[in-house]
Amino acid sequence: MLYLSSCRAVLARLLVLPFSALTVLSACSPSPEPRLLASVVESSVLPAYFTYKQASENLVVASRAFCQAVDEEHMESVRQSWRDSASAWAGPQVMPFGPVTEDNISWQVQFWPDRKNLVARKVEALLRGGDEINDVSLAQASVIIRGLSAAEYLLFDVKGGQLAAYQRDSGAKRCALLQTIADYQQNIATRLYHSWDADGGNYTATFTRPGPDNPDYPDLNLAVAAIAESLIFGAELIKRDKIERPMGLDRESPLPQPYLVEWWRSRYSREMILANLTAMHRLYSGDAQEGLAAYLAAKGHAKLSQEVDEAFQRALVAVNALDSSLFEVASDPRGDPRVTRLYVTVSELLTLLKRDLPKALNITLSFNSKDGD
Amino acid sequence: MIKHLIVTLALMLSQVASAATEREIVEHYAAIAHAVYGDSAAAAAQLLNSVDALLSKPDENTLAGARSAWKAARVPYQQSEVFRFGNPVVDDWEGRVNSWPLDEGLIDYVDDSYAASLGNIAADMNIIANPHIDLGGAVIDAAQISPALLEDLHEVGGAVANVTTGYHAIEFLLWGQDLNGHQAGAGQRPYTDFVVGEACSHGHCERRAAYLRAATQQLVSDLRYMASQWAPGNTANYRAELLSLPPKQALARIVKGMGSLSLGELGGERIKVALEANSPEDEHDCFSDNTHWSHYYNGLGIRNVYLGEYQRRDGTLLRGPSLSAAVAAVAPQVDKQLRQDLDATMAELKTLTEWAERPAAPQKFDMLISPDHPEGRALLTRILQRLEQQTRSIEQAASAINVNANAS
Repeated sequence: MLYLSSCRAVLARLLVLPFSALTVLSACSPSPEPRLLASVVESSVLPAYFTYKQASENLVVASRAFCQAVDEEHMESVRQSWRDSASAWAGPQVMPFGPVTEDNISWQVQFWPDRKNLVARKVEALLRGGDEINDVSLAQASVIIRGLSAAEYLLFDVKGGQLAAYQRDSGAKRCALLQTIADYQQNIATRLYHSWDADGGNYTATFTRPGPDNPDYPDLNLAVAAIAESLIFGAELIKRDKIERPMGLDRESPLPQPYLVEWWRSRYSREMILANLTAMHRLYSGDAQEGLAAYLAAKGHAKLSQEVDEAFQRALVAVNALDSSLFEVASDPRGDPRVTRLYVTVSELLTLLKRDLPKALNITLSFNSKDGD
Repeated sequence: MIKHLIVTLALMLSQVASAATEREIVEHYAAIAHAVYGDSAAAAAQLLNSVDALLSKPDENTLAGARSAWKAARVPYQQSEVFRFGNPVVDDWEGRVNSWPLDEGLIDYVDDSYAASLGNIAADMNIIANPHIDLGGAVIDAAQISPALLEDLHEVGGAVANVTTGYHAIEFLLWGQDLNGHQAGAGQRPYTDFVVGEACSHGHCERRAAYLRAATQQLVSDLRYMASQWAPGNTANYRAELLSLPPKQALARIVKGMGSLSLGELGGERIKVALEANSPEDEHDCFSDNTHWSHYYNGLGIRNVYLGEYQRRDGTLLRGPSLSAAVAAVAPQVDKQLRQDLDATMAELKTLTEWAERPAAPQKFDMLISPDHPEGRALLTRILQRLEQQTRSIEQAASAINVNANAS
């Protein structure tokens, strides 16, 4: 609102000073924030949800094929589809704004950390029980057994996720659960994509048109803050939950806790961090001309814009240097200095984002669900 | 002209007043902290008396007495948790007194259905049954169960579930495991678990008694330490450090504690995890089924700090310069909204306590989180929404007085 009124004042002055009309018009119409928001949706949000939707469709197809032909080859194909789904989820995981924040969707996809092994216990209890497994019973069951975490257990666990478990008499029920979870995930992914799509729920319009009549984003700053908060949330998630706690770095003498590693059963933690950082970097850079990086530079913070980009590059180099999953590193008493290097680079990225970005954007960060213990 | 002068004067006065008030708000906040930790220590000392009564003559009555003393001790402590996240002195210390959920097999005997944290090498260590503990080759001498031994073994092996001290370790010793799942009933530990001699149930009663006493002693001294950190007239404690900060930064710590407890801890860790996972093991007071009161007093603590009020154990009301007044001076609507939100949260938390305490068919927290309890789910979901709403209003209030919780 303030921006518009100052534009109006400038336009009024144009009548007196016609020679500068072109420059001023290009600077204030349309204003840079709506362009930034539209660019974020176009280059990050929609592609992320589209990829996730596609991956979940492939997981459904692969699960069907496996349950029709229970063999090693088909099982490996479901496992690969699961990995692709996890990588695709890495985008939405670090963009906690909009429809994904409703109905606890992120927990319906991933339950982690699972200190007390609830995933295994609840899945096995369901399989032992007399209840029929279908989309209705799954929707009423605990969130723990509806998502990729339960699917990971069914595909990778050393007992419950092996081919032999599907070749027993009880194997058909196990496969029915796997297929029902895949269907459920496809349903979530499709809903999420359509909720942003202009032809569906069109949350894009809500996000890109802040204003007093918009209950989610009554002013432009709140929408810009959502982008910054996503980057900070992602960096905090990687630093604290994905590295610090499982590697035991939050203690004076580090004692790794391998079962706190994300996706420990599938050994997919490294790829997940890589996919997170890639999605965050994309969210930051956007299209070359209109992303947050360019917006910062245009606001007179070219140095910070550059520093954040370099911090992303260093973290990406560090994660690419790892050659095994964090579960293996955490289980090896010798550790791995490359994990420490990744930890340092992500911490530096977080510091830049948390300390300098809000000031430069003139926003205040809100409390988030990670502020507790 | 005169009107203008009066307005200007009034503005000047209010600015002077608010400048003085910011420091006074922080001082009063510290006074509430001192009172609430002092009350917590006093209530823990009474718990220690009741534990001694139980151990000197174990029977139904003395066990019931110790249990009700434990519940009474939770009343001030849960109100203190709003001081936790903003103040490093509390946050760094808190794990000693209120860590949960715990792998209770570390401490004592457990049922066959016991499920501990994955990969926890000490999950079945059973300190009470084992005077010598072999931990991957290193033998620990646990012949004498003392506060120092419990401190050494706290978080042994690096697992946060290895909780040897604090309220929840004591709670486990007083109630035992709650094996009822989503059904009615708390832990059913018999008093004979503390009878030394032939009537001793489950073995090692002498060591169990020593453990209970050591853990309770430790709790008393931990709480006394924290009360001393907030005592006035000391230039070397945390209160002095807090008051030496720029007032805006101290206010940021206050706000950070309110918002973090409200949304992430009480809303997230303590309600949402248990609710969404339908997991009684993630219940806060899972042995005693006292969770409704723990949540209620967490909520009240947030309200206390905003209003600058605290009702002490002896009934006296502490009241003084408040964030609420400071916000009201510049943005009365924002203050009104937050006060309404805090009241709305407390009303729902009160409902939670009423359901849990009603004489006929009481509905405890672990029953409400069952997938087959739609009304329970609805109540807890409403509480989560209220907590989220009040957190957004806390942000608005902070912003109205130019306080940024991230700059604490």
